[in-house]
Amino acid sequence: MRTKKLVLAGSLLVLAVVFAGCAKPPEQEIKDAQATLDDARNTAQADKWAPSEYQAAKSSLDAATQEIETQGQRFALMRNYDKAKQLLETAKADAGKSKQAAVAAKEAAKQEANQKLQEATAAIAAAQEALKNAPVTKDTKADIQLFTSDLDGLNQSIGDVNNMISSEDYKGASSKAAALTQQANDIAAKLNEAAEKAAARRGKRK
Amino acid sequence: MSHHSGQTLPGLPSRSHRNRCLAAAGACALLLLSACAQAPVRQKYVAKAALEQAVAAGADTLAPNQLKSAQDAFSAGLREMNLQLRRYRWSREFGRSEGLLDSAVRRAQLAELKARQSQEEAHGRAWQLLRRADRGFEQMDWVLSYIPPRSRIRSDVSRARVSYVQARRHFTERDYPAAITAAQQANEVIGEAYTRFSRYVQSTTDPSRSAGYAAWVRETIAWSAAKNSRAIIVDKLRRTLSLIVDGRRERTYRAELGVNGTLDKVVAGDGATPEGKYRITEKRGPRQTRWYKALLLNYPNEEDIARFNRARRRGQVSRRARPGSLIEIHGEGGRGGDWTAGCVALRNRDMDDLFDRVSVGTPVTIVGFESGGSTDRDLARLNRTASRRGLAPARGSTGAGGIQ
Repeated sequence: MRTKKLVLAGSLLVLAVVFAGCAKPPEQEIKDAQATLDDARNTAQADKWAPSEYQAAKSSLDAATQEIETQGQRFALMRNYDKAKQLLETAKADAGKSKQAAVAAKEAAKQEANQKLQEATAAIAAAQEALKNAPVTKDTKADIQLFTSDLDGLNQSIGDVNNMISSEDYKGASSKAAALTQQANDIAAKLNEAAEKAAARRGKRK
Repeated sequence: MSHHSGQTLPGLPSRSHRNRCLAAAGACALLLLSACAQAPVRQKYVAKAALEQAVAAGADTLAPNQLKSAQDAFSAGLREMNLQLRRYRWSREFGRSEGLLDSAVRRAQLAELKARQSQEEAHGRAWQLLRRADRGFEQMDWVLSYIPPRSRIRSDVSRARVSYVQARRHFTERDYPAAITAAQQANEVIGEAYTRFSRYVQSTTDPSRSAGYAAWVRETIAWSAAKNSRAIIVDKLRRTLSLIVDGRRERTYRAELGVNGTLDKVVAGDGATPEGKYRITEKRGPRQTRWYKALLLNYPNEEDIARFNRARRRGQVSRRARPGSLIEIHGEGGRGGDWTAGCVALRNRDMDDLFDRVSVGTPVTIVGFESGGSTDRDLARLNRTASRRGLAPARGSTGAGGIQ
């Protein structure tokens, strides 16, 4: 009787040791990796500014989850989460990289938008200068007023670009500023051409 | 001794028999192995390719739910396949993973289709908005002929053009969502310009002024009929100059005005064309004017001077300002827009025609607009265009029966 009890207690102890020794899913690591990915999306808009890097991090996390599920379906004693942990580390690192890439891409887009804005402002200033130098006669007065109105419109669009930059729509701001530069350059070219023609006419009269 | 070689011990199977047994067992094992289920590797690559194709079509942004569903089916199929591969060969069953991978292919194709449809829809919408903006600019060309060159309406059109150029650029780069946003902005600004124009026309065709204009026109025509004489009526809104002979409108010429011609002239240099009842005071031939031929008017008349003085008393004009002079009907017109300092310009051949038919003393009545006829048609056109563009009609009605 006593032997039986001893055998039972021993078996239970062995069983407890075996189960206690079984590998457990790396839940904390999953949480950490997921949190890093969420942080990349929420704070740096990685899905918008670094979509390929963000997607790579997401795929790493998916692969890790898949590995954990695969291990979970195996016999308890056979489970091994080492590979899953490694994949989660990769996912976390990729998520961090995607955040960095997003911050860098956003900053680059911001700088480009500001650069394009400066170019547009300079182009409008050049067109306004050309307008000042345009020959004012009864013949050209109406055209000058037309160009003045056009430049007023372009100046208002500069305000639109500034608003877009403020709302972090850097791509939209860049393309609008580029369109503005093109319009302002067209006006300046026309005004300069008119000024050259007028100068040529004056030259002939002399 | 070794003479037993090639013989078998009694009770044991002979060597040849054993070989036959081994061969049979081997054949059975081979048969068993060959009958074992094969992993759906081909389906895996087909599904992977379908997913890649869907992503290339932009499904990640244009059909995210469908793509996610396909990716989930693919992951589940792979998981199931890996699970089966860990089992003994003869107990493997790949039916479920095959089903999941086939499902992934179908879903990925659906995602690709949806993405392509969305892309086409975006392309169509962007194109539609660009065409709408094109029509808007065409209408604005007509509108701009009615307004002074220096105006908020023109600035709006310029602003709309910036958005339009931006939209065109995005469209060429196949970035249709961005093209839609920019084209929408262009259309919105055109709409704002149009609303401003509606208000402008409404103020120009103010009923209180309409009655005054109508009276001047009636009086001029009646005078011409009573005196069997000629008179001139200039309609600033329609940009026309009509020759009235014996109370009948005999000829109408296209006219161009001052740069702010639709406004009533108050001071020198305002670019406005005066409104009132004038007379020709002098006829100048080709060598007497730089504008081909000219008919000088008695601007400023007493009413103009009185209005100018009122404006000065109210501080509406500077103390240094003068009411201006030398308002003429002259040639060198036909430029397609208002450009003079306040005079009325005709094409040279029209000037030739008119010049010989009028004389010093011929009455010249200049009004903001004449009721009836093409003014009404123009204003009806404005109303139709405004309603087509979904703009709120301008408030109140006008004497010209235009904006309702």
